[in-house]
Amino acid sequence: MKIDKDTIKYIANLSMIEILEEEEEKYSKDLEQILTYCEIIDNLDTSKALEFVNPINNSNKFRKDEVKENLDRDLLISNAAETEDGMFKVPKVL
Amino acid sequence: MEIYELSVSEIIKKLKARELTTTEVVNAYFKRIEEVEPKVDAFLTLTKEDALKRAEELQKKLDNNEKLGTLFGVPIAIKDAICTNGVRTTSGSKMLENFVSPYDATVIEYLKKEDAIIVGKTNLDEFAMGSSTEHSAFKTTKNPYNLTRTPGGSSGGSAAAVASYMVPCALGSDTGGSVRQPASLCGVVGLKPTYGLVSRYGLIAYASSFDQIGAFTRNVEDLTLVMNTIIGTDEKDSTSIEREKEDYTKFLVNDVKNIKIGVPKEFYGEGLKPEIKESVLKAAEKFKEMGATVEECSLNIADYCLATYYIVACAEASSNLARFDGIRYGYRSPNATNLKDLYKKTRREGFGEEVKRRIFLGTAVLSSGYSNKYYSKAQEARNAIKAQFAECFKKYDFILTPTSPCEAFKFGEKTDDPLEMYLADIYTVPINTAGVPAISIPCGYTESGLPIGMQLIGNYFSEGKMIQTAYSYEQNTNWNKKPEFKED
Repeated sequence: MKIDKDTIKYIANLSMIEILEEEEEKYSKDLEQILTYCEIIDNLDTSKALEFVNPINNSNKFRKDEVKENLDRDLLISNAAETEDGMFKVPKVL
Repeated sequence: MEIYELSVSEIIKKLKARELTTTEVVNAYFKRIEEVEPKVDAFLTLTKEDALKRAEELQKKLDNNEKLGTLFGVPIAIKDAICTNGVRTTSGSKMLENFVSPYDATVIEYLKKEDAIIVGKTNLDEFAMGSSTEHSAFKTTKNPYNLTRTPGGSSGGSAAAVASYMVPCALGSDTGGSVRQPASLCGVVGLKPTYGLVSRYGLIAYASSFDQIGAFTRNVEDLTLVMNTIIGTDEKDSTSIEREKEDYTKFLVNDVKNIKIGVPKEFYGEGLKPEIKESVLKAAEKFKEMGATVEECSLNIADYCLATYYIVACAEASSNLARFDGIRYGYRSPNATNLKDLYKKTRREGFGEEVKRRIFLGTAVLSSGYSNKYYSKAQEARNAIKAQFAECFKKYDFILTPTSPCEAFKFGEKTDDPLEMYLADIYTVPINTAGVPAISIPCGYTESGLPIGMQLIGNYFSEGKMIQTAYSYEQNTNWNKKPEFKED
């Protein structure tokens, strides 16, 4: 997979990570090198293999939908950078 | 003999016989930590006050003849990717520098219930992504055998703490070798259990279908005691297995007569240091001498596994790490003006270079137009790899390989070339790709005195026999050289 500067900018945007112009070359070079190496799996015959779901148990597990005690709200939001009236505060959206 | 030199089982024995008190044990370890930690830098947080308080409570329990837990009074260190209630849990990232976990991971609950004493949180590569602990946002942990070299990673802090006798045991997590590889480089025992045997609840996720919590000890007997404590079904982890708990101490038997070991020739080829090859092949001879059946076999998957692993693990990481947005917990950029900008700047400033590289890689292989070529193909490859292991286990109980292609490497040696660093995991990632268990145990030293480890890989839930096989080898060999904290 060819990773040029436009591709790395596109990927960084999808990843929601700001990337600086001076970093573009390094990241595109690294990604291209790793992805080229990864193409080795094209040589593995997977025509009989199904897509992998989970190493051991492939079924969903269900539990009863019961009301249980939860962690305290104030404790949980105490790790947030900014809160108000028991809610998370974010910069203006619109 | 100093208190800090005691094994897990000896500590429990001496406490129960009242030859020592829990406070004496905790103080002895903290004294050792004060002496050695400035050289090794294994810990990110020490919890001395809590540990001493807990020691007092436990001593009362003993004095009142109450029922005692399986790890009674045993000091333990915890990789800082595992949540500990009320204690800072950073995962080695600036993103979580000030995060205080509001709950305990299930394994921590179990450890507390069984009377272990947590002494601190250990250093790691940021979000467990790395093989040298150099990607920690906070400090560089040194290899106790040679302080100019890395302890391996990502659980390098835990491995170094056990190797340098700052704790008798520690927990780590293993996504592609992060318990076994540092165990090998630091000359200790490290086990990655079958996927689902140990609850992942409270382990900060890297790649959920690979992650598994494992343990470090200095001998196999101690490993059984820690494993007995941390395994078990957990309704908080939907991938945890419903299965009756085994008592691994029952497998401390010196006998390998009915054990069949396969030695896959593909794991001994190009890229493996000759000294390491020689040591592991000598261990294979030793197993033969001890009565095991040892045969050369073929398992031609190592390169495919590394590619498969980095595609799928990074894809999972890109999704798992989306939660770090600067809003609900963790670092928030002070430089943003609107919400989208806040996400992007927070993630740019909070994540280190390697974490960003893996998020980008994961995003790329999942992006429109590429997900079939990379992600879907890798998931199919994963099943093909699993099938190859299954084929091997029809013939053999265990597969014997080196744990790492090289001994502990120097700082900076592999940091410039990410692919070179990824190749350090070439022998360990196949195990997580299939979800089977594997153990790394010491099997020699290089000419320069650095530890060499070998890996025994087994079928799902073969931990018992695996422990027996490792224990037998340990009983018939003597790889217990203490670290000298060399500086050149």
